[in-house]
Amino acid sequence: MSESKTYEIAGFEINRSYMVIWAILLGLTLVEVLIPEMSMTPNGPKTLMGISVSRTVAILSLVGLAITKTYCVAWFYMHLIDERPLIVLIACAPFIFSVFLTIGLFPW
Amino acid sequence: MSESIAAEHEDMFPPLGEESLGVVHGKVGMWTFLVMDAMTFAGFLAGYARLRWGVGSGMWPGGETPIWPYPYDTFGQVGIQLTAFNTFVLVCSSVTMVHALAAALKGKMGEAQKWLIFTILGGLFFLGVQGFEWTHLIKDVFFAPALEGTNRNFAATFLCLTGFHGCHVAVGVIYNLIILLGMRSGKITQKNASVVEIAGLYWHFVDLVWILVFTFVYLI
Repeated sequence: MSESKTYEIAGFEINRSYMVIWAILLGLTLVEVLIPEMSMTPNGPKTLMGISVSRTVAILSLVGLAITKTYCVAWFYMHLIDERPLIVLIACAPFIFSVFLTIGLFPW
Repeated sequence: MSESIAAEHEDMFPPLGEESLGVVHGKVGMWTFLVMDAMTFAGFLAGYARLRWGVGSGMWPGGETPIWPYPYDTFGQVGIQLTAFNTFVLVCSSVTMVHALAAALKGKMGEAQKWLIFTILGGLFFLGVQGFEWTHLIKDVFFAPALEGTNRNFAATFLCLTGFHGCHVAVGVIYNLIILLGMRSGKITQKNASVVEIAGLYWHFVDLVWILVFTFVYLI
């Protein structure tokens, strides 16, 4: 596991890099929740503080954010960052499967 | 082979729990299981996406009710925010899990146990909120008399996806409880902290999948 700075709170040793990833995940979740509030719905467009985005932009942003969050969890919390290439390769298998599944199921 | 013989001939045997590539057997096993499980979830999500694409933004005769309900309207702002908070709790439980592992690797088993208790509590909280949400949706939304005869695909896919994930959370809570009991009894120590790492892999996977389920089912 990667060594990183630690500090103590109430007798608990806290790893700084884990908390940075946690803050990133929290921030991305907040952004995710705000996106549907400013995107087009079947009942019409929504705006948040005067900002409105198209449905396509909203979907692409949400998928992008979800992939970023899953990458953060897999890479840092599941320690793929320190893992042997063989394990990383095994972990990539479902993503390759998902790509083929999406292509196969897409209503062309 | 008895422990004493193994101890006597320690130099003749590879370290317990490792294989020639240097990766713990249990970890390879867990990764293989997770790959299979991830493909099952991929199938569920792909099925959901295909059904949703199929109806697009079509409306029922009358032109007021969408065939596939828009999640934001179905769950409401409060519902989405509650689930977002639940997502936050699950992410927090992932953080407590990595801290439990870090503490176990340093031999601070007391601290590791405390972190693990927080992880278990996070999982239980998640299940509680999901139970509350299911009760509300089943009673007031999915099977409400007003929606009789309408498209049930959304309800079916929603319940399958979140239910399958909820089962994983429940299993994860039990798994972590077993690890906690192992720590308390002294069977799990710094020496075999890889057991905590393997349990952590499962728990992070549950978190990772929820990130995708939350985005696809609740937000898009």
